[in-house]
Amino acid sequence: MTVILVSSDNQDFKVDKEVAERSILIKNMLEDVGESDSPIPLPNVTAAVLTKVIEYCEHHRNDPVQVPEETDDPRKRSNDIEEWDMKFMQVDHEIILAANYLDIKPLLDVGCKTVANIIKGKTPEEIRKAFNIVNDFTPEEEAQIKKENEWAEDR
Amino acid sequence: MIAPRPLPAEVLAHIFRYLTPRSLYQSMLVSRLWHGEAEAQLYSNVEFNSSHKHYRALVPALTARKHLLRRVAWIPNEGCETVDLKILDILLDYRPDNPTDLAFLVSHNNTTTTTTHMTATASLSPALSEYTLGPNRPALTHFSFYGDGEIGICLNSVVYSLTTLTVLDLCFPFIGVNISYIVDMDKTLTALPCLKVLSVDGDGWMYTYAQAAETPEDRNEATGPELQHCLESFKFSAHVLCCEGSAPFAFFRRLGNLRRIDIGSEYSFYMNTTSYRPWAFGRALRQYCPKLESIVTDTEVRLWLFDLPILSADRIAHITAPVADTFPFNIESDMSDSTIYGIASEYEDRLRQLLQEQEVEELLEGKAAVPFFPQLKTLVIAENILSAQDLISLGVQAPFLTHFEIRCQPARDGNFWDIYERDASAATKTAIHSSIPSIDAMIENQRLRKRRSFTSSDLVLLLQLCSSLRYFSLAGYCIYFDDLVDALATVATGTPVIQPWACEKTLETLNITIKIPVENPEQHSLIWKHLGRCWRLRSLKFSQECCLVPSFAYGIAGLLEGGMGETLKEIRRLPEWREVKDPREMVLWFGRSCPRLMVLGIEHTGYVMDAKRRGTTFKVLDDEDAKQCSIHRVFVEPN
Repeated sequence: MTVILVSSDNQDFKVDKEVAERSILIKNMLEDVGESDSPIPLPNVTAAVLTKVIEYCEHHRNDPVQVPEETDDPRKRSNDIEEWDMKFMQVDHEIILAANYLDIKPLLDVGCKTVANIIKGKTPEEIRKAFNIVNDFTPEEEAQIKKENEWAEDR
Repeated sequence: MIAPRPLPAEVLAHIFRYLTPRSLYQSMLVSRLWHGEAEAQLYSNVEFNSSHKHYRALVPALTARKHLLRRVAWIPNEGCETVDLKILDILLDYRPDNPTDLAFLVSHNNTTTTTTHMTATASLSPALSEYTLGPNRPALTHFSFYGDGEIGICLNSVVYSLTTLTVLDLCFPFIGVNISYIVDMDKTLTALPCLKVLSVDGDGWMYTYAQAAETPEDRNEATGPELQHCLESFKFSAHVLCCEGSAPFAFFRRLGNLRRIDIGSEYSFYMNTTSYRPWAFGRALRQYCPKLESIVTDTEVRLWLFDLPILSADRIAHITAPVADTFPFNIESDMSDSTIYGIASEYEDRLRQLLQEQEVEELLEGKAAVPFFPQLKTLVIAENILSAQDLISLGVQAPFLTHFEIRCQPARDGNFWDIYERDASAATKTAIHSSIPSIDAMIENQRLRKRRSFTSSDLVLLLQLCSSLRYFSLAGYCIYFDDLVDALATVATGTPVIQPWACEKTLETLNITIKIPVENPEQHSLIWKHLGRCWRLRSLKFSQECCLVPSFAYGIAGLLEGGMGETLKEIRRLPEWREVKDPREMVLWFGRSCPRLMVLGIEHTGYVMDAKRRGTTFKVLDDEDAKQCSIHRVFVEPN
């Protein structure tokens, strides 16, 4: 069985239901509407991003659905990304935003780990450059944050 | 390039869970949006360790942000008897005006013994009362304590006040004199109604469980539903199985929702074999914890999975019969001592085999053994704590078992299996006289249902019987080719026949080592084909000991005949490629036949002689080849 997904730029994607249901958002939508052929609009996802997301879901279609672990280590590891995923994630943030919107937990996890790895070892200025962020602190605020949290600086 | 859309706060929060305090500190300084999320993450999970150099700076920072705290690890100095008031302020928003309020926080002095410690615990208020605690208490979900028992009463006062906890981890790694801590399950469970995970570690001398108050009704039935607690996971050390007394495991009686137990310890000392009472433990858990589905042990604990009641003297006819029937002794007067000894030992061996076969038959009927853990789904266990009897019964009577894992551990105790239910009235020795003491002992062992260690053929039996296994892993234990072969069918057909495994349609992970002579390619071919019947496998692992030859001449093609290629993601420690100098062809074959295969670990080959390169990825395929398959990593396994 297939479903039709429509990207924000009005492109249709025909996808196996099983693959589409890797997205909890879509899964819930399909459950809500019941048996229906009507296409599912995804106004927050462009065709380019949706192509990548579908590629990911196709690749992981047989993975067991993740069960959230309550007892897991709070400081999670980010060095356990599958190699296929690592190659896959070498793109911009759009995939992470899409994974967040479509509620695809494993893809969101991989994306966040990738970003975490980019942040590691960088100074605030380097991070701002990598993520195109403007510094909106006053020098006084910056000094205050440094002072209050200095214990964490060398940890 | 278009500027990327900013990451929203909820995604940032997700990302920051993967960062260390240092990286969070850097992230805090990026922007206001980042600051908020990084700060929340940095202060949600904190370790109080007064020996850390940043401790002094951490305390004031945290006092102002206690509302962010979710997880705390508290590591007081060794021998510390009082609580730093600042910690009470942070954990409980508690700032006593009157120093006399603090009297109960001061622990006993060093010379007090365990007994007075107990009275002290009982006479002091167990928790700080609700209104002495401030309104800005953090909603802690996780609390870990690593210290010694000296701080006992203070610790209780703190723990019992952290009413929002879902995970509590108490660990007493420091050894000292007069140190003890009483884990009072009833009080802990009452104080912490949301607790899901409890772990208590340390040597057996350093903490004990308070005997649950017992009423006559309690003795025979579990506590009513209104007192049942939601705890799901409980970790304790092996000495718990040595508890004695009239109802030694009564502290489990409110744990009707328990799903998982972990038996193990990082700090426990070696336990004396004879003090274990696995029968009492098993029966108590069967009664109190009917939902238990996962058992994990990382230690040499005497654990029984099935109840095998002792046979009373009048019910052992079937054991004594073989002795009477086959007793062969016609010792001629001219026989030498060594001949007599030879006959006797041969006879004993035969008798032992006969008795064991009979026992296996009884177990296979499923009537002799009663499961202690009828809902068992996951079993992770050290090799030498599982008996043949338990293993066989598992195959017959564990319909839900999906995860079976044995981690090899060398036996430390030769008398490991010389243990039986001493509590039973039938346990008194029967007078059996066959005139040969070793045979009497053999009969007595059968009557007492003494356990013995399992063999490779018992493991094969489990695979043949257990129909729902998804995960089967034997680390450091070999299965022999001869045990896989069905002897009767082989005789009938003239060629070796391998009995199918009941779990061949369900297995997803298989970690197995097969011992097989190298010289016969047909046998290897048979095994490859047999493994190939497990067509759902995602992960296939061998070990260093495995002698299966992975080459076309030895029939490796059979591995993928059943369609395993569609699911296989990982192959580890593929055995040494004897006649293959260049692994390229084989890697390419795997790559082309298994579209999802990503990791291929191979044993030493002639191709890579350099020991330094073991464990590292090496380039087998050129770029053109690599495009044709999904393999991302080929490496030579480290030793």
